[in-house]
Amino acid sequence: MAPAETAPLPAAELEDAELVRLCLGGDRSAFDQLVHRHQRRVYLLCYRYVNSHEDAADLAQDVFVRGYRGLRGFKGNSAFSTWLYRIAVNVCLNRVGARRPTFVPLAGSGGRGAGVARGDAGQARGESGPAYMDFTTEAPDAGLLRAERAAAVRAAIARLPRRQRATLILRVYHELPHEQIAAILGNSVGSAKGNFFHALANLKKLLGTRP
Amino acid sequence: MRHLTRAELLAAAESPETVGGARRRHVDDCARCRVALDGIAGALAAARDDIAPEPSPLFWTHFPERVAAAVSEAGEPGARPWPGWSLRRAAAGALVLALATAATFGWRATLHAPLRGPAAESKSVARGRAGRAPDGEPDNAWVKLRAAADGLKWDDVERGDLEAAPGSADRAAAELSPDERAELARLIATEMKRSGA
Repeated sequence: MAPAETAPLPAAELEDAELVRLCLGGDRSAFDQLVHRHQRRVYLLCYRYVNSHEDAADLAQDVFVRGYRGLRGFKGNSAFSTWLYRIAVNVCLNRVGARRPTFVPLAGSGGRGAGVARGDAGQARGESGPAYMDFTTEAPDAGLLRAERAAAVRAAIARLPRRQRATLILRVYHELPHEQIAAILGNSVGSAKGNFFHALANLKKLLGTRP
Repeated sequence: MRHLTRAELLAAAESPETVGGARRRHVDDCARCRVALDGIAGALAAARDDIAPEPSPLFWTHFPERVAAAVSEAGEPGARPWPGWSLRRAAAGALVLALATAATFGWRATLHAPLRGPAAESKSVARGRAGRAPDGEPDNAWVKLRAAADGLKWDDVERGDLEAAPGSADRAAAELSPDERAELARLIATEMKRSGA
């Protein structure tokens, strides 16, 4: 008796490495699935560098196109997300190295309110990843104050040295372990921790000296 | 009692519950450690408090379509995007090589030129080859610097806060990956051997 044939798994249930293999075999929809799976993390990382929705969307698109072009370079030695984060950090650093960062008011400021929830809605959609803003009721003054503080923090983070900035963003806003940050930035775990410590120490100094 | 290390300060700022009882008591009693911990924890809290705004939910359905359109123009994975990039890179490489050659020859000519007039007063310009001044007297500063740096590891430098000033060439070198650093060291060694430095 012939063994029963197993139906192929839906793309949404496949591991990243398997999707990469399918994509390299010519299945373009496998890459669509990878985009769907990682778009939020990549977009929010880019947003942290440019502080603008339009620019972050452009950068995130660039990250995925570069990832697609370089897909043969993914050997599976690390997680696909680590590999993609590495591309994203490089794309962001190249972009912000070419021009000064822009700062726009937070969407929650100006009376609309900016209550904060970390990740609930994203988890409800079956996604994991960085924190984001949820709109709830908040006094206008509190919203403005929060926006002002956020602008100061972003300006200070933008002034950090490149590696410290990347480390801080990946650790604080993407909650990645030091080991993965080290793999993304190509340094040792000790250096990743050291960069994070220095990033926080410098952030404290920069926030403490602002007018 | 021993003060908290950077790793302990970081751990205490990120997750205070992981700090052992003895270390916690030390922080309570030691003003220096308490100030350091408050500073790190305050900066971390300020950073965490800045939440990025979420784009419209429609964005997440539109974005994959946008990427798919861009990817379809990119051809197959691993395909070269545009052969013109190769030509540009080759041209840029040739230009850099020509400039480097011209700069090297210019530098060597300057180095071997006889000292005249006011320039003769500045012997330090020619100082430093093999740690000796032109008159054969050992350059003690250079010898001491080499002895101090000998055996120093990259991570030690980073841990020791020996960071270069922003925008300097050292800063650029600090951003290199280990492979790029090794390649830079090889190129410098080759060039020094070639120029007799």
